[in-house]
Amino acid sequence: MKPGDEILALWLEGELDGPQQAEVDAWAAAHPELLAEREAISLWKVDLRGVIAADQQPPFPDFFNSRIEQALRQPAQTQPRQNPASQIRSWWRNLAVPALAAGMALCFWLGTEFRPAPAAVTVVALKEPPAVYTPLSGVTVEVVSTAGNDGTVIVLEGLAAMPDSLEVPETSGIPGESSFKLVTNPDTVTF
Amino acid sequence: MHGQLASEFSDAGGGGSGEVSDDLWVKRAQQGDLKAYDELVTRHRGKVFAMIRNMVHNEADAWDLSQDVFIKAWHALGGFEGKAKFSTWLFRISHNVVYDWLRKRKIQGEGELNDEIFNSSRIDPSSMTTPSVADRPDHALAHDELRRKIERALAHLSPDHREVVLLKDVQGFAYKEIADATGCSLGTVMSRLYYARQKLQTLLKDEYEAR
Repeated sequence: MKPGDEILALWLEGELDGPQQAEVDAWAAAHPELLAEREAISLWKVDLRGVIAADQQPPFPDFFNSRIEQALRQPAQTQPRQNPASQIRSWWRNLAVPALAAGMALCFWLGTEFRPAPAAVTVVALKEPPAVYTPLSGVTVEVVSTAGNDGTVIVLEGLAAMPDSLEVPETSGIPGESSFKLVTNPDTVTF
Repeated sequence: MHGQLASEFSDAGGGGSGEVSDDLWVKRAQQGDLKAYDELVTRHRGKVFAMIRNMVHNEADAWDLSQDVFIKAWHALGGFEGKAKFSTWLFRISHNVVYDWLRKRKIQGEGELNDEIFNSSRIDPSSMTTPSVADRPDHALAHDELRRKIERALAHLSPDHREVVLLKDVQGFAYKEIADATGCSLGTVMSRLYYARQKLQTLLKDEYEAR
């Protein structure tokens, strides 16, 4: 007896087993066109898998992971949500959108009314130690903070020697409080 | 730490293969263990990235979207009950992320073929449901050329069709797993795969007949 379309489709893909498989095999033995089609499907998959990658590492895979971890370590994200959002939270969320829009409109209006004098740019120092990423392998990084956390030294070891002709452009810093220096030797780059 | 965890899991879970199952890492991650989640990311990032890259045809976008998948998966991890495989569940999230992205880019359906608008008269009635694979190329140049042609043919499919071909023929998912990952019925998946292969057969007909 001819199997149903669904069973036949599963058989063509090799997804049947046990008695069901044997039953369809026995029926299909008299239908060479189906045996040929099953073979063609199997070969097509081999062909496709030969040219289309099923598993391809993203560029900079370590950085890929660290970016995710960094995003998840932000406050209020370090624990997976155990339950769906409650109605109260949903209500607050609904309220937050118009409140945010109103706030933005108010800020825009205030911005058109007042023109404050240009102020000095304030650079806020980060409390967390900096995350240093390099796509090169074999490079080690050491971050050293001075006492009182008023200075940070980042040492990169394993980089190629920097040419003498390289000029480091001016960089930003906290005026009067901090400085930026690049010190190099053939094996070590220190910021 | 991972070595210790793996040892603990091996003791608890048995199996003796030395490979710790996803389930145990998932349980740890559900308790807020970021290291366990990092292990899951490492295990599955290759398949997720490859799938998304083949869907959006752009490496940079695929990288960002894969990041979104794992961040969303972390937030949804509490609701994962283990009824499906973790990888299938991840592909469901990937499906949602990619389709959201496609909607935002407003490229879905534009200039592409899909079930509704595809002209069935263009399908060779004598074609089988899979492209012929006789006389496969045996050197690198031909291989690269074949890859380009298959990628071009896949790009001509609608996202729905492309997705089932990638999940079935590249990732090796069973019909039921594809239905779970895409949120479609088994019949819909079977239908999409059938028509997708017919379209590929037509699109690649010249390529294979020339050999």
